[in-house]
Amino acid sequence: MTPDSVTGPRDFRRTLVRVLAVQLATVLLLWLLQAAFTH
Amino acid sequence: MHPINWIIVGAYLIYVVVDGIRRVKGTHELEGYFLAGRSLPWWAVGLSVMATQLSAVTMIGTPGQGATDGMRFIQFYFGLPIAMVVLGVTLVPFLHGARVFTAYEYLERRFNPATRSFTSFLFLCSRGASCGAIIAAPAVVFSAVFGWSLPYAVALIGVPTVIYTMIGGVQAVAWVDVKQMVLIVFALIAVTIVLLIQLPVAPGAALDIAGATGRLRSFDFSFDLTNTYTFWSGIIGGFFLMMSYFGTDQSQVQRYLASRSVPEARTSLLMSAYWKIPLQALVLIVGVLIFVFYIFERPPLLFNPAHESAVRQQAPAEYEDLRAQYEQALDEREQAALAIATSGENIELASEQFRAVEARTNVVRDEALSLAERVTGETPRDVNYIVPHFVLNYLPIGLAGLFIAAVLAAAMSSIAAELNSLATVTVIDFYRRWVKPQATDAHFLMVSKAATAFWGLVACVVATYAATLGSLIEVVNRFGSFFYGSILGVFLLAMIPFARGWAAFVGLIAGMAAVAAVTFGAPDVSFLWHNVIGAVTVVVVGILLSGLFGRSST
Repeated sequence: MTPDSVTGPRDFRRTLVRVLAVQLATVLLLWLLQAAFTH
Repeated sequence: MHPINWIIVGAYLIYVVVDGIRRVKGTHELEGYFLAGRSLPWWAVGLSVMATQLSAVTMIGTPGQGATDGMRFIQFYFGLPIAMVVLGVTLVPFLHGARVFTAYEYLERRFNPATRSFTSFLFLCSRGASCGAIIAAPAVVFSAVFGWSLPYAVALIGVPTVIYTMIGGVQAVAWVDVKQMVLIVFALIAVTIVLLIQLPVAPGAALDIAGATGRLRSFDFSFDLTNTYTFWSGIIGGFFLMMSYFGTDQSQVQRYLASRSVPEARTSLLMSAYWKIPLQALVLIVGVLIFVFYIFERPPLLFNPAHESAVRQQAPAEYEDLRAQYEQALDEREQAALAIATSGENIELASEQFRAVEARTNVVRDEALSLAERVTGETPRDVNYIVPHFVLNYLPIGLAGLFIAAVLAAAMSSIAAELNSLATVTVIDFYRRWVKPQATDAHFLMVSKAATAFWGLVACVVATYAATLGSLIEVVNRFGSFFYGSILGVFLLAMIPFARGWAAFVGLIAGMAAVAAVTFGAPDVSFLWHNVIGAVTVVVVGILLSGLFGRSST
């Protein structure tokens, strides 16, 4: 069995984009917290 | 603790055992007992995976770390989401599609019996010991906080877990995990709200105070191999660690092998990818808020009540002297914090003054910790007692009981998964493979339950000794990091078509040797990098040997 037989490259890209979007939002929030309150 | 809190803790323990035993239905065959008949929905598997990974240390030690060290621990998890996505399209389809009980079973089909037996043996050694360490961590805290004897605290956590895991199998483990995860998240959110209400300053000012000491610093972009918590060690080392943990550790693999299909298995892993970092951030923020809380409420000199009492009795003069210095430093720190809250444009100056007073406070506390170590002969690990002190002294009645129940839930969910996977590997990879291949399901079920009880007993005994030997927990963790990355390397090799079994076995030994060489040769290198070194060595050695000598052999 190959990975592509259960999930096509397009599915993978879509999933990757979604997960990365959520993580980027979280990381951005943490970055803002650090930038705004670290004096 | 108030009787109502004890009633809540007692009710939780009874409910968990009853709910677990209720799941006995459908576990009369081996596939039902170990894999829930491959019928679990993705959300149950996802919550179970998250609950398994969230141990009592996460509930007690991590907020304590947030209180003393700030948010930078979050970087440890930066590689996790990428690892989950990669696993979803690589190992998950391979393992789920192979219809195996254990990850190591797949290695025999792909390579040879030696590779399977060796990797499963390594799993039993490391997980058997680490299961004890998982029980020991909260048991030590409970015994110090409530004054219980250690074996009693170990039994309180271990016995109910063994009972429901032994009777209900993976169904009980997974469905109890779901409820435990809900309880844990609820308790964390409730504590955050209570903290925000109880703080005498506005949330913005609280963050200014925490930020003044650098506790809101989540990112460190320096490339330092000796520092565990940097952006790069988290994203690279963390990626390999999470790939190894979620892709090759039976306690995790067994969850998604129990899901209905490959897409559901993959979705369950993505749940961790989405929620792990936000959840971990919440845990650390609880710790940061507790730090601010104790600026305005008088903290004890030592949070561990057993150590505080020992020092007060055995070194009263030194204790009183340090206590007086600490009180004065705390007064000054509170004034400096209030100055930040009302500083307006002069926040830089106010922060500078706060940092100076905070440093003086830390000097006194460090002296107190050294005194505690001298008097008791134990490493203080006082950070683990900050959260229990806050929970028992400042949370409203009912919520304190709920939080203690959540700590027990976090411990039990991790232990249950470990016990269940230890029993599965013992029966499937050793007993059925080498001792009695042709027995009936009824016979294997009986052996599986006996194996669960056996590993439960081993874990409780290890927990009792690990606690008294303190550093044993660190030894167990270090021992695990010797081969975690190497086992991942073997599974990665399995996906390369021309890789040969004997080359994988030699690669595994080479990977472990490389990690051992780094551990002893360069002890300052953070353990997160060991996973990278192990995995890369196995893959490179395996490919080279297979390419050079493997064409005519298997």
